[in-house]
Amino acid sequence: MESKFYLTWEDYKQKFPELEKRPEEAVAPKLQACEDAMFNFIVGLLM
Amino acid sequence: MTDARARAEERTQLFRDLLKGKTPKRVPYSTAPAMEYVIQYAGYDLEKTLWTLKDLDKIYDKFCAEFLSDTNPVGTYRLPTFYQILGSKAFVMGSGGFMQHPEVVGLLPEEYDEFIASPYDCILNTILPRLYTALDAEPSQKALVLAKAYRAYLDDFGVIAAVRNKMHEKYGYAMLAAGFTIAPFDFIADFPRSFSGISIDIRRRPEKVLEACEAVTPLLVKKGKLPPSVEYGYIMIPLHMAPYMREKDFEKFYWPTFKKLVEELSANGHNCYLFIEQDWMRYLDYLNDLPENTIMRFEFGDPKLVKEKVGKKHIVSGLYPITLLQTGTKEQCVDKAKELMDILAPGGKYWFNYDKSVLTIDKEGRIADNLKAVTEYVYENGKY
Repeated sequence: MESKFYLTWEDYKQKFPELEKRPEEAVAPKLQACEDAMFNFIVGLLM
Repeated sequence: MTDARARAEERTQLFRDLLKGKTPKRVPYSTAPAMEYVIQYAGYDLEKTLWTLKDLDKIYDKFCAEFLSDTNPVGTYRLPTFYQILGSKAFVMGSGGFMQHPEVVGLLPEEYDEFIASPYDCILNTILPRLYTALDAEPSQKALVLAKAYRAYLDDFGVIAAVRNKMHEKYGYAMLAAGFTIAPFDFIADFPRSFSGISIDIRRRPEKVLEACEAVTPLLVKKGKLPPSVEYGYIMIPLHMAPYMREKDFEKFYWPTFKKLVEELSANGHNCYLFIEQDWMRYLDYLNDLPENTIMRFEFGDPKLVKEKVGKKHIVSGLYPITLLQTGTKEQCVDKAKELMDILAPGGKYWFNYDKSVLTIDKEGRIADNLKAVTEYVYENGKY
């Protein structure tokens, strides 16, 4: 999705390089779940 | 196994079979009332309860104890608190406590290119601040408003989820996950451009409308997707604009991206549940072209034609007019249920449901009495 407001895990790592040291299997799903929850809320406001 | 767990297992099996296109043991049944009716039925003040959700478990317990249903009757997605925090113009509470959706415009015709370039950014930058006035603010204020609204949303839906679980534990409903999304053309029409705006756009800027539908489709697929871990569930898609369009416009503007949406969601392993608002009888051949076992809940139409045109490939539901519950005698209501079941149940692929939800209670209590009579008839006569 082309957006400056929706971050993928790759976007997060670019924005916060210190994340490279964190356990990806724990951190990535957690951050992505928050990203998706906000996406669903925002898009849901137009439904 | 407790009685409730056994009931839940039996009911879940009905839907496992139904959603896979297998004839279930009996016709699955969903009851008609929406939360608004249930609150009034329990004697509570509608407006206050929608704000506070106080006693919602007691309210639903009364309803669930009196009215059978295979699916959990607890559910809503229009609660006032987060809409109020956002300064909503898109959904407002009317004087009676019912949430209403006035005609609104969030995207101006000259802003189509911005939407096409990035629908999500355009929603956040341009559309939401017009429709949710508290977001038309400086960045820090906007962030706080969004945080408060999201908190209210989570709080309220946390209460709904808890009540839903409680009723499930006590009454044993089918366990089904549900997603929600919208057809691309309807999405552009409903809040960004409005019913009248989109009707002008398809004549004055048809290419922009087509590009906008294409651009927003991936977002709507993403919004509707259930996690792959969900074994049984459906994605509800209420359909709005098509009955108000000429067929050649429907074919050009509505159908291609809507079909793509349903195909992509179905390919993910879950059934789409189309809530087919208004009269779609002239579009039945198009609907039949959708992936097998799409659930089609019709508001209006000829049940025989529906069975013949889409009922062999798809799961048919709806068509029972809730107005009859208010105006008919018990005998007339039961006769209507018999008529629909005689036509739609043979061969399976049928889920008994009403044409829409009942919102308002009647003083005489006729709706409740008739609803009980119809429910009893379906349970007693729905065995295959």
